[in-house]
Amino acid sequence: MTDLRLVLRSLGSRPTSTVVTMLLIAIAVALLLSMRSLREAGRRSFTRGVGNAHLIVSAEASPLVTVLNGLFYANPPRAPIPQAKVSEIVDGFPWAMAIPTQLGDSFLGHPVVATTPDFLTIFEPAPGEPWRFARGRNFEGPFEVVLGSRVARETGLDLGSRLYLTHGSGRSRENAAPVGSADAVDSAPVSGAAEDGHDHVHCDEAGHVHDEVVFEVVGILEPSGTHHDRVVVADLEGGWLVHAFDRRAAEGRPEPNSVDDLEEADRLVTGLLLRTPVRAGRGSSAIVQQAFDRLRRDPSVTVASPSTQVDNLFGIVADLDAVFVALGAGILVSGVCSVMLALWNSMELRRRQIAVLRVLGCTRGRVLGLVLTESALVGMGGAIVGVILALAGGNIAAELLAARTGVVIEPMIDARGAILVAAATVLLAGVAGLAPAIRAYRTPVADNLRPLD
Amino acid sequence: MTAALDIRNLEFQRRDGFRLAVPELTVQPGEQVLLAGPSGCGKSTLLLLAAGLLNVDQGSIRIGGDELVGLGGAARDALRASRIGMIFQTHHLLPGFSARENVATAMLFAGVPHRDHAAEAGELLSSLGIDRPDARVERQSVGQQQRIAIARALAAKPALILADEPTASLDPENARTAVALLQNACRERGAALVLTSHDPSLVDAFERRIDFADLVSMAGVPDDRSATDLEVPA
Repeated sequence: MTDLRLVLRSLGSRPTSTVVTMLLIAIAVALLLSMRSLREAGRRSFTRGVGNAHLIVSAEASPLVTVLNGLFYANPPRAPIPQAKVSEIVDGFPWAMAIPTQLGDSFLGHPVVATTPDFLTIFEPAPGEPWRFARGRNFEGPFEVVLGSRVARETGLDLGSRLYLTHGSGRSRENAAPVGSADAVDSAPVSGAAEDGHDHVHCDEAGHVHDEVVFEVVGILEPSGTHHDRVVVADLEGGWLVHAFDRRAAEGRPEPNSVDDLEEADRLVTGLLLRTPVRAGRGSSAIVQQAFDRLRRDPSVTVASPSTQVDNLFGIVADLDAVFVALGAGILVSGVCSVMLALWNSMELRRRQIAVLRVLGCTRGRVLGLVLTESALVGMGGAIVGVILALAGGNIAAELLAARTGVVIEPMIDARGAILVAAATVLLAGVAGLAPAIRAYRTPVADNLRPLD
Repeated sequence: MTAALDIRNLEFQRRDGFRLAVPELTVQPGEQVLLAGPSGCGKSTLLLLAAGLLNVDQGSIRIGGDELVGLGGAARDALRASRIGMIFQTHHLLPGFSARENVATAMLFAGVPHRDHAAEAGELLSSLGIDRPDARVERQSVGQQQRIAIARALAAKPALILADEPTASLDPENARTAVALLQNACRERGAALVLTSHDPSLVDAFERRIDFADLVSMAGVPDDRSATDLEVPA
């Protein structure tokens, strides 16, 4: 027999109370650690999703909106950048990467990025991790598209599938349904490539469907673990063409027959993903700031550093984080209070046991120590289970997030933080055990040795 | 020879006015003494005083030659752990603990090395007829619980066993059997025994019998609440 065994036996003799109290603390610890972990994981995921773009240019009102819309596909951009301005920016600096994008269309709720093939070769969805094709190839013609892994998984489309794009964000397209290929073929005069019987998907909701042009899936991407997995990557000229149809129709002019019929006004770009030259092995260089300063002086465009804007975004929500952390700490304190209550109440039932320990020669100080140890052990047990719960919960949350959004987060429990939280929990539990321990210390021995009635 | 228990000029007064005075009581090593008296006469109080669980107002209590009165709380607890074993009417075993653990707990506070606890406790329990030493005490019969209580009292090889009405809840036959068991166990281990009882049938079992009324001088209210309102030593 040892003091520790005595304490464990004592805890074991009240299994329900011990387990429930420990569980309360575990939940509090898990919440606290999960909040910290998911906050960091979210930040890492956002930073990762910035890819290898140093700068992004748009006609949006603010840099944050530029990044959220242009790189994270939050909403269709507000306005295009004039073609002349695009040329001026692209030609005015020795960019290592200058990829024009046109956003604003969607397919079954998935954003469509109309861009150049460079988007799938030079742009990296995560720094140092270029795109990889699961099947097929990069688009080469104006009516070819490549699907992000999540789009392919959710729509069931594969190589050779045909689809129409929708004007707008496509939120109203939840009821979109695949339709027979024959119907789709009839309404696909431009590509004329629908006669081969491949499945088509037609979005028949109230929003405008660009059913003048049918696009063919020529490539499926491997998951990148970023939000980019939910995009449909289309050819920029194809994107221009579908909008040219609308524009001509509105103006009462003849529809274009091919990309050769596109005019300067049709060639609209909503964003430019830019990267400056860097030395091998480096992620950035001093000229990024130089390029940024130059673009910022131009009032007709908005330039943003994606990584800076992600930092700003997390700075904005930092107060909210603090609220959640405070909430977790509050739950932890209430959990610790439950330790005190459980021990305090158990003291009433254990007065005789304590008196017997005293008869056997246990000193008052030792009784105090035994109860404090008991309290601290409950705290320690709760903290250990809490860390395990946080790890398991974080991984489950990450898997759910990856399955639902394609965004990969790595919920890592910071060892130092976990040790700090666990130590604080044990300390708090020890403090919570002080009142019951003093009660045990003062238990009158003789009174409690009377025979039971 | 140093007495197992030597009480001189002991005086004690309870908060409610009850007063107990014991001019002299000496118990030699290995001696077995019956303290007989009616319920509530103060026998339990005397045992609690002898065990250092109550503070005396005046006098001397020596256990194996060591003075108990005047010792600090921790020293008194240590002396009790190593020199005194106590047995109660309701056994006061630790619930949720096995028989072996109950005995080992007494060894823990007496400073018996940890490595010896399990084996020594098992041996002791076995010698007292406990065949399931690892069963929880609640699952043992009343008779077995009594034996476990005896084993626990003897665990630290004490010089003195104080048994407070250990047979009060037993019928006369079982009471005699239990007392015989306790006497034999004490005899085998050389421990002195002071047993309080109001049961006249036990008189013949002891060579030395003391009528409590002859031993003490009392005043105030009767000790019908043997431990109530008693001051606990610090």
